[in-house]
Amino acid sequence: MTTDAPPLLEVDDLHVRFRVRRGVFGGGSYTVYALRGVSLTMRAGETLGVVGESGSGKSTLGRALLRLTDLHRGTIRLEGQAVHALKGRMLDFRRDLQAVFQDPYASLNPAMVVADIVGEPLTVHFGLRGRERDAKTAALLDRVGLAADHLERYPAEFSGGQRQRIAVARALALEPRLIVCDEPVSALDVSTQSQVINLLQALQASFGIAYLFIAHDLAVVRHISHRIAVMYLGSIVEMGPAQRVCDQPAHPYTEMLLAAAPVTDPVEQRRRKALRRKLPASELPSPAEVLPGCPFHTRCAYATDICKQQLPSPSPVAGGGWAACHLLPAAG
Amino acid sequence: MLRLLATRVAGLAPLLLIVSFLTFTMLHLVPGDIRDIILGVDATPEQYAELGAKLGLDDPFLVQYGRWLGRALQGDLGTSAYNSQTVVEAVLDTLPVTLSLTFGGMFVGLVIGVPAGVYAGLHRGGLVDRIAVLAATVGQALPNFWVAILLAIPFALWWRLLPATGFTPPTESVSAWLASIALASVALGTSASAALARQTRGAVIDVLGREYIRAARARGVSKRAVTFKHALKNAAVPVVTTIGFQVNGLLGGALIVEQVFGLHGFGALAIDAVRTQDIPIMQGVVMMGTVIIVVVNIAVDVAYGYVNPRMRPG
Amino acid sequence: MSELAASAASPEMGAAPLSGGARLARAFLRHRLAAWAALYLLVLAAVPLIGPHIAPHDPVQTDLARTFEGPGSEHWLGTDHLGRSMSSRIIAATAVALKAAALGVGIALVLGAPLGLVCGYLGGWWDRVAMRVVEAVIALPALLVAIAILAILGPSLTNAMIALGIVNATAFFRLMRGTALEAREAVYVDAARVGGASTPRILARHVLPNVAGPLTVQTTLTFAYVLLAEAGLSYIGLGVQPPQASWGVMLATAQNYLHQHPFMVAPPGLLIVFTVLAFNLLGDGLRDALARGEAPAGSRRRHRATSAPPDAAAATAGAMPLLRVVDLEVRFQAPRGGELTVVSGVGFDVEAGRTVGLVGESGCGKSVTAMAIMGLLDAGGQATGSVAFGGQELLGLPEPALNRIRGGDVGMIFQEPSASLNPAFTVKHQIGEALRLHAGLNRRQAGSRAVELLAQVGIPDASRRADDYPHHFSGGMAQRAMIAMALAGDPKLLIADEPSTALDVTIQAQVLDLLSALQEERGMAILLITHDLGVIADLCDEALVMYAGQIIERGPAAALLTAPAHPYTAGLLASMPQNQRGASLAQIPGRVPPAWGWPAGCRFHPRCPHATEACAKEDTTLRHLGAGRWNRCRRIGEIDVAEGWR
Repeated sequence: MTTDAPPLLEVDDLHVRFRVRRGVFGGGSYTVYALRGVSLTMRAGETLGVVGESGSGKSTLGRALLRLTDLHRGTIRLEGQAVHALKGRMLDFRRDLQAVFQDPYASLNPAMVVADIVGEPLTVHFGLRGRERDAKTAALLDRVGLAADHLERYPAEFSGGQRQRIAVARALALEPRLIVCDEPVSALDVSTQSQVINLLQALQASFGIAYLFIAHDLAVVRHISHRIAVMYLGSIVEMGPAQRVCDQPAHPYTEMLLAAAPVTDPVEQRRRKALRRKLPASELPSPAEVLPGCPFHTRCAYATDICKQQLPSPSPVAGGGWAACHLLPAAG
Repeated sequence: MLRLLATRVAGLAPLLLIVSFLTFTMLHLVPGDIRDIILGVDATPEQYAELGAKLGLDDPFLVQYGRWLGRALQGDLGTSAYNSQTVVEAVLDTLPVTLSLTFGGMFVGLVIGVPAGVYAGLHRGGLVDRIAVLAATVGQALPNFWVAILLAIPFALWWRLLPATGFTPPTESVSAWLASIALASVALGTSASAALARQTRGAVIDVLGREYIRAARARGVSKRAVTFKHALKNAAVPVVTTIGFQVNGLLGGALIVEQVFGLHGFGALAIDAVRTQDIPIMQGVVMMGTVIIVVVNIAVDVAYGYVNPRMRPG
Repeated sequence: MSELAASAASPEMGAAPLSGGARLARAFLRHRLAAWAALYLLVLAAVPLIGPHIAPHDPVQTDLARTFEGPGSEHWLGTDHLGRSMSSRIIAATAVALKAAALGVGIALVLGAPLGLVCGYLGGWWDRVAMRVVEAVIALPALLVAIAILAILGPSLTNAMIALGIVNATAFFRLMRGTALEAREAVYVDAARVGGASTPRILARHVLPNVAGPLTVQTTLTFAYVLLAEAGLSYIGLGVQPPQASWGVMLATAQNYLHQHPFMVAPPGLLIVFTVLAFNLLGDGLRDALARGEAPAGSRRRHRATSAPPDAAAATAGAMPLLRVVDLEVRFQAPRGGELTVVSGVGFDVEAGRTVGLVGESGCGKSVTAMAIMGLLDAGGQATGSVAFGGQELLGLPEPALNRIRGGDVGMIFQEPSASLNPAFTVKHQIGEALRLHAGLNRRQAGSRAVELLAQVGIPDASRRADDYPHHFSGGMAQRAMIAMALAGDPKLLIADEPSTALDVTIQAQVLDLLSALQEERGMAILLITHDLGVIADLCDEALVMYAGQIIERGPAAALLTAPAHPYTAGLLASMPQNQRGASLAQIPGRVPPAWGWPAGCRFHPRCPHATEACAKEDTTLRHLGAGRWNRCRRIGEIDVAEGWR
C-alpha cells in the first residue's frame, strides 16, 4: 500500500462507557467499560474480522462506528473525514457506512413491507418515491437473489436466510463504502449460513465494499476476512492477517479461542481438545471492573508478575500484524 | 427480609411526599374561596382579611404546602371546612368501614379466585377450565354495586338472613361485624376474584411451560411435586403483583358499594365533601386512601421478595 | 418445543401471502365471541345517533298516573316511580354512557399516549421525572382522586369524565412508554437510524405502527373501565344528575323500590354487564389476534399419513444395549385439528459407556426424540414404537416407575441452563431434591452431598455458591450445576440436549471437557443432541444425522465426518467454511421442510443434486453398509456425494 489516499476508516483510541442504572435512587449503579481504547484502520474493499466472546465489546465497536451509541472518547475518520463528532441525522456519513445486524427476525420492522424496508433509505436520502423507488428497490432485491414480486410482502413471510438477504439489500441501497456486519450469520442454520456468506463475498468482488465482520465463529471469520482483530474486555489484543492469526496465534487469548472452537475434522479436533485441556478453565471477569495489568491475566496460563501490573503494548508478530502480550519480544 | 422491609418503607417516604404534594396542589386549584364557605356571604372585608391571615391564604403556595406538611407530620391534617370536626377524626371514624370492605373483598377474591385459577390452569382446556374462564370474563364485567343490590334482594329483603344496612364494629361483636360486611364483601370480591382467577390461571399455564419444570420432571420429580412445589411458587410471582393492583380497585369499589348498604365509610365522607366543597376532608381521605394502598403494596413487595429471590437486595 | 414451533411458523410453503391487515382480520374473526361483541358494540354505537328517533317516549316526561307499570306493549320495560318510560330512559342512558365514556377515554388517550411515546423514546432525565410522577399517581386511590377532582369541579357528568380521564391517563402513558422503550431498543429502529431516518420519521413509521395494536386493546379495556366507573359515580350521585337518565341513576332509583319492584334493577344492570363484557371480549380478541397476527398463519393442511419404514435395529444380536430405540414415531395434535408427525421410524442403540451424537438442523426432530425417550413430550404429543432402557420398555411405563428412572439411571441436561434451574429455589436445594429422590438421602446428607457434587463439576467455592439462587450463576456455572444435578442419581445414561449451544465458545469447550472427564470417571453413556458437527467431532463415538424427522445417516463419528455417505451430510460439511479464504461455499438450496410439508419419497430429494424420479416417489430405508455405517440414500454407490456440492 503505497498510496497517499487516506485509509477508508481510521479509529483512534475509542472508548465507550455505559452507566447501568439500578434502583430508584441510583444505588447500586455501575459503569461498564465496553470499549477501552480501540484503534484500527481499514482499507477500501477489505474485510476486517472482529472476534471475541460475548462481553468482549465487539458489538459495541460496531455500534460505536455506526454512531448508534455515545462515544466517551476517541476519534473515527471515514475517508479522512472526522465523523466522531457529527450530530443529527449525519446523512452524508450514513451514505458511506451501512449495517447488517445479527437477528434478521428483529432487524426488519414486522409492520412494513419489503419495498418500504429496502426503499426507506432511498426516500430519506434521495427523496425517491413511488414507481421510481420501486424500480430501484426491485433491482436491489435482484442483486441479493430475491424476486421483484417479494416487494409487497411482509418480513414474516420469509425464512431466516431470505430475511438476511433483505437486510443486505437495504444496506446496499445507499451504495456504501463500508458495511458493518454484526454477527450476520450466527442466527442462521448451517445450510443457509453459506448462502449469506457467499452473497457477501460476491458483492465485495463486484462493488469493492469493505466489511467490518463481527462474529464469534472463528471458522466463518477466517473464511471471509483478510485481517482479523481479536477483542477481549473492550480492547483489541491481537490483529493481523487472517491466516497468520488462525494458524500461528501470538496472543494466549487467541490461542484459547482457537482451541475452544470445535471443527469437523476429527484429527484437528483431537489436537484442539488436547491443547485446550492444558489451558485453565475460567470465565470472563466483570466488564464493570478495570483490573491493572493485562486484561487477560486472570485467565492466562502463562501469566507472570508483570502481567498483573503493567498493560502490555502492541508488539509486531512475525508473519504480520501485532499482539499485546508481555510474553512477546518487545517492539523495536 | 427485614432489610427488604426497611428499604421499602424508606422508599415510601418520598412517594408519600410526592402524593401529598400532588393532592395539595390539585385541591388548591379549587375555584372560589374557602372563606366564602366558612364565613358565608355576609362577611365583611375585615373578617375576610382576618381569616385569610389566620389560614395563611396570602402566603406563597409553597409556604402553605410546607406549613400543611409540617402539621401533617405531627398528625394534624386540619379541620373540616364545614363543621368543627378535625380531618383526622373524620377519617378515623369512617376508616373501619372502608378497611373492612376493602379487605373483606380482597379475602373473598383470594379465596375464590386463586384456587379457581390454579385448578383451571392445571387442567387447561377441561370443562372446569372453560367454565372458570367464562365465569371470570363475566365476573369482570359485573358492576359490583349492582351485584350488591342483587345480593341484597334475597339475602336481606326476602329471607332477612343478613342486615340490609348498618355497620357493626368488630370490637362490638365479631359475628355481627361479619354479617354487616358479608354481602358487600362478596359483591366486591366478585370482580376481584375474576381478575385474580384469570391472572392465576395465566401464571400457572406460563410456569408449566417453562424449561425448569421440564428439567424437574427429567430429574424424576413427580408430576404432583412439580406442580405444587416448583410451579406454584413461581406462579405466585405475578399473582402477588396483581393483588397490589387489586387493592386500588377494591378501595374504589368499596366507596360505591358502601352506599348500597348505607354504611358510613370513605365513600359517604367523600360524597359529603364534594357536596360541601370540604377540601381539607377530601385531602385527608385521599391521603389516607393512599396510605392504605401503599401499605398493602409494601406487604405485597415483601411477599414478592419471598416468592421471587431475584427481588431480594444484595 | 421450539423445534415444533419453528416448523409450525411456516413462511413460504403453503401459506398464501396475506397483507398485515387481512391477516389480522382473519385472526380476529377466528374469535367468534369477539366478533359478536364487535357487532353488538356497533349496534350500540348507533344508539347515540338514532336513539332520540327510535325512543318511543321522552325519557324525562313524567306521568304520575302510570307509575310502576310492568313491561307492556306501550312501555316495553314498564315505567318507573314517576311514570317515565323505562325503555326510553334506557335508550337515553345508553347514549349518555357511551358519549361520556368516549370523552373519558379520549381525555386519557390524549393526556397519556403522546407523552408516554415521547418520554419512552427519548428517555433521559424527563422520562425519569415523568416516571416518578406516574408511580406516585398509580399509588393514588383512583376513584377517590376522581371524586376529589369532582369536589373541585363540582359534580357533573362531564367533570366526572374529566376526572376519570386524568386518572386513566397513566395506563396509556405506561403502555406507550413501555412500547416506545422497547422500540427504541429494537434492532429495526437501529437499522432505520443507520438508514438516516430522522426521529419524527422513526416515531411515525417504525414505532407508531407497532404501538397501534396494543393501544387499541388498551382503549377498549379502558372503555370498559370508564363505563363501570361512570355508572358507579352516577349511582352515588356524583355523575349524571337526575332527572337525566343514566344507568347508575336508574339503578339508584330502582334500589329505592327494591322491595316492591325488584324487576327495575334488571334492565340497566344487564345493559352495563353486556356492554362492559363486549368491550372486554373485544379487547381480549384483539390482543389474541395481534399476538397471532405477528406470526403468519400456519398451513391449514391436515396431516397426511406418512408411513416410513422403520430403521432396522442394530444387527448385533445377543446382548441388549443400554438404550435401544426402535421405530420411534412422535405425533402431535396440530393446532387446528389433525395430527402432525414430527419424528418417524427412528431407531438406534446406545451402548454402555459410549457417546452417541444426534445431529441435525433446527426442525429436524432431534430434541423431540430426546423428550420422547424421557417420556416428557409436551401436552398433545404421543410416542409409539419402542424405547428400551436396560431391557425395560419405557414407552407406556407408569409415571412412578418412570420417575425412578428419570434423574436416576437416566440424567438429562438442557440447552438453556439458566432457564432450566428453578429461580425460586437455591441450587443446593434443587440438587438435594434429586439426591433425596434417587439416593435416598435425608435433607442434611443431601445438602452436603450437593456441595460435593458442585465441587466435582468444577464450581469454585462450592460450599458458599451452593446456597446461591440460580440468577447468581453465569450460564456456564448454571450448566455445571445442571450437570451436578444429573449426576445425583449416578446415571448410566446422560441425555444432553444442546448442552453448550447457548454458551460462549470458551465456556462450551469447558462444558464438553467436563462431560468427557465425567464419562471417563464414571463410565456413563451420553446421548448428545447438537446442531454443531464440530461438537460431534469433539465428543462422540458414533453420530446419527437427522433430517425431517428421520435418521438419514449413522456411523462412527470420525468416519462419517471425513467420508460422509449421504448427500445431506456431505452438503452440510461442504457448506461449512474450511481453511480457504474467499472460496465459494457449497449451498444447499431451499430449507428444511416443516413437519407438515415433508415431501413424498426421500425427504431430501427436492434439495438434492443427485435426485432422480425414483427418489421423489419411493420411500427410503436406513440400510446397513457395513463397518457400522448406515445410510438412507437409495443412490449410494452410484454417486460421488461430494461432487454434487462443488
